Amino acid sequence: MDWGLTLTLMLGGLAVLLLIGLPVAFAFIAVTTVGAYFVLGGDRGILQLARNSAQSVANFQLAPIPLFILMGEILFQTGVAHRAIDAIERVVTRIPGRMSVVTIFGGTIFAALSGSTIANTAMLGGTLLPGMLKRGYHPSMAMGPIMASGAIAMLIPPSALAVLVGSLAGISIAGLLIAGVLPALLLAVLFVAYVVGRSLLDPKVAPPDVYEEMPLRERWTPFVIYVLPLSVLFAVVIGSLLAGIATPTESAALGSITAVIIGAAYRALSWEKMGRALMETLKLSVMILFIIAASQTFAQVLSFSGATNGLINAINAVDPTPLMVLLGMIAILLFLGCFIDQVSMLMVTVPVFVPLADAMEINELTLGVVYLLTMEIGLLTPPFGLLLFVMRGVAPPEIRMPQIYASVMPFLLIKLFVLALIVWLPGIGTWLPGLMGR
Amino acid sequence: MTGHSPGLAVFSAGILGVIAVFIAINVVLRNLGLPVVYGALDAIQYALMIATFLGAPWVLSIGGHVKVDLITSNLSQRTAYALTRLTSAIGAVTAGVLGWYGLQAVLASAARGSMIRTSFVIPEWWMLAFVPLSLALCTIIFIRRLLYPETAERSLSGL
Amino acid sequence: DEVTLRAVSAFTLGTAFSREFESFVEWINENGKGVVQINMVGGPEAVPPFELGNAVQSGVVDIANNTTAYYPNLLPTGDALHLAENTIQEQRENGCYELVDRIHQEQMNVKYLGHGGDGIGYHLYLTKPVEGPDLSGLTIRTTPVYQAMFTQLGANLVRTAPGEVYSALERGAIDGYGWPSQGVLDLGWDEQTKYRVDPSFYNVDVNLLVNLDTWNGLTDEQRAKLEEGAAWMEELNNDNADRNATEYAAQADAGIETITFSEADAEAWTNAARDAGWAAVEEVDADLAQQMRACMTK
Ligand code: NA
Ligand code: NA
Repeated sequence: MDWGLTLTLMLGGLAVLLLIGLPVAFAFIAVTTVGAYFVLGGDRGILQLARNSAQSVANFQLAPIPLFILMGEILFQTGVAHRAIDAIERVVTRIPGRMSVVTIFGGTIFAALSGSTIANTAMLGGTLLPGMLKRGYHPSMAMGPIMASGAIAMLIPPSALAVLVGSLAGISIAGLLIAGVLPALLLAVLFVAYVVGRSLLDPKVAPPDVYEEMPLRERWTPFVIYVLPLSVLFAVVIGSLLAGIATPTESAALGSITAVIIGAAYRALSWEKMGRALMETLKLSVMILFIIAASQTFAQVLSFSGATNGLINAINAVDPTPLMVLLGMIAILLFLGCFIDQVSMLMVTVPVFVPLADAMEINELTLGVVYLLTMEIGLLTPPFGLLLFVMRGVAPPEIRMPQIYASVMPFLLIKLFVLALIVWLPGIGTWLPGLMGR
Repeated sequence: MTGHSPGLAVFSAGILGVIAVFIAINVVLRNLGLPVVYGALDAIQYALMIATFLGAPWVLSIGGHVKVDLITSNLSQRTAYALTRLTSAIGAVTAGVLGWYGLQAVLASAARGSMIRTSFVIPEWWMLAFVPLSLALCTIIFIRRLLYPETAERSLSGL
Repeated sequence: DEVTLRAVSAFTLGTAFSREFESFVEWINENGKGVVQINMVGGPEAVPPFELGNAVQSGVVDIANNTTAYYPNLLPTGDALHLAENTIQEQRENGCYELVDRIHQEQMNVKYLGHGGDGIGYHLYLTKPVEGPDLSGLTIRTTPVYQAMFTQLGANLVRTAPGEVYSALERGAIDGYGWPSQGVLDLGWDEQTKYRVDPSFYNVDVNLLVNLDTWNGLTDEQRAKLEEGAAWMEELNNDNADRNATEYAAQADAGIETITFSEADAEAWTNAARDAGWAAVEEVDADLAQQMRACMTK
């Protein structure tokens, strides 16, 4: 069969099945099964597909995915996360748009402790949004920072999505985990700058609030008790990776164990909470790993059919520059991000983009960071943005969806700006991993 | 339906917990200069596979697999049910077909006595068997949803 | 009439262990016009390496470039192939080729068409020096290829995922690893490697496998052309000595020192490799192991 036809049928079939609402993993399996029959050669092709699917997740490199998720879940289920946010709120004073700044600080700190943007956003929304709205914050100053900084969780390790990008795209996982740190911090700084600037220009959007006057000691004690100890976790996960003393898998496992120890130290641990954390971990991990099984086999069939090579040769024939190719990929990713979830974005594009980037000699870490940032942006772009829905879930009923869309716009622009900056200065992503050897 | 699934799910969740403990123990052993468990790598690879395939039916039953609800979220209930029936039928056929071929793969492997030879030697079909088992349970869940579309769960999934 | 066969390599195209295979495919497509052509489908991105044996057995793939370490589930005595101390040309002379071909046909439904990798030995690479073949106290990353040998020499063995070897070396989780003479620099592991132990032991085995039903369905002329191509490819093994020399020089440039064992130590080293290797094959099938050892060792 002609590769163009195969490509069209497989991607087209996938698009239809995704749109009518078949779970993503099964949409992939359906298309791949039919594809395997025609491309790999009948019954034996499907039989081979069944074997390949078992093989695809029996991969040690995927072990950090459940472990990173588990670590964040333990912190959330034990309430350690919420207490830390309260403590941060106490110590941030005298800054315009104070509560928005607290949100960004809290979101960034938790990005370093949790790999789940949903959990992060839900936690920030649940603990901070009611207070901000009560104090008369403009919805855009309340909800925007929550979603924008909640999304940072996937850029800073622990990040299950970074592990996923690394393992699917064949990029150094440790390198990619570290590569997300600088862009994330840059985002946080720009968010704060925006929030403070806007509050200064238009004080109505963030009324200077009357926070309780309290002695210094009382103000800082909760911070010392509930936030500082979390730096141990930070050191275990990011420090060990950066210092090159632990592999991603080991840092993830140590992180989970440390989270349990911290939970126990606060006497916040119970069998019930551990059970809930494990079941929640199972749900998210299986969701990802099962899609991996489905999409890797999809990529194999696509590659076997010659479609992958055919497309790459066709693009090569146009003789584009690597920059043009990279910008084209970004455009496609941003477009997809408006409509589909992060994992699907990755699954649909990796089989084509990775060989293409390879052929074009685009730096793999740059490609990885571009993936992470575009996926992160996709979390916030209407109509389908996971975090927009999370916000819908935690916001009071009078808040309308268009208000949620509008509140995130300024932050989306900042993220697009940072994305452009990375294309222009790839060092923002590649410099830090370069320091750690590999 | 899923009389088995919660049990399997708890088992799978347990596997993930054990993986975490196991890797951490290995790190500690190594740093104490003690020998680490030789087969850990292979054991963890298969544990991940087992947890994934045994956990998948449960995740399906609670609506935890990611969906694109671009179109489906704005439909009347009638249309939504009709569409759920359609996707459930497609899902059931897909899982059923691949599960059946997975079973053939298991039988073929068992018949020729293929062994996995890594740090340990075990029959290959032991591992392959999780694929048809998982897909058979998924087929049952899809069929149930085909018959009773109102039981289809909606939940927000992602990371 | 012309037939087109679908080929897949277990190794990424363009890398060391796919090179001869790709040359073979070119040779056939050049010299086999009107008789037999090969469509190079791809590498591990098309079929996972550990599934390639099954794919060529079932006929999903017509021709595979594969190493026995990737299909022990189908050919449990395959480990013997990298224990060979003679060349494939010598094995074709002394009847060993027929034996290996026969067990491939009987046990996994494939024709053993050709063999590459002769002359590419394996080495032990280390982060700390050793005096002799005693490896006790060292933690070594291993694959089933060296498992028996390193165990016998007293090493503490671990299995490390390929993606984690670099950092495992860096923080001392492992003191070394076994690897062929070629490829260390491609992986970047040289940055964390201080020593290479000489002499080498064993031989890389990369084998041309053809699905047996496909093979039996070919005409005599088509089979002859493929065999001619395989023989041509096997001559390329003679280039491996030069390639090794180039690779060793590059390793030296990268700061990897050579530890060369004394004659007595080298003999103990080689004997340990040989004895442990064959003992492991004997455990699987004593009779076959004996037959293969008789025609593969000197
Ligand atoms: Na994170
Ligand atoms: Na979106």
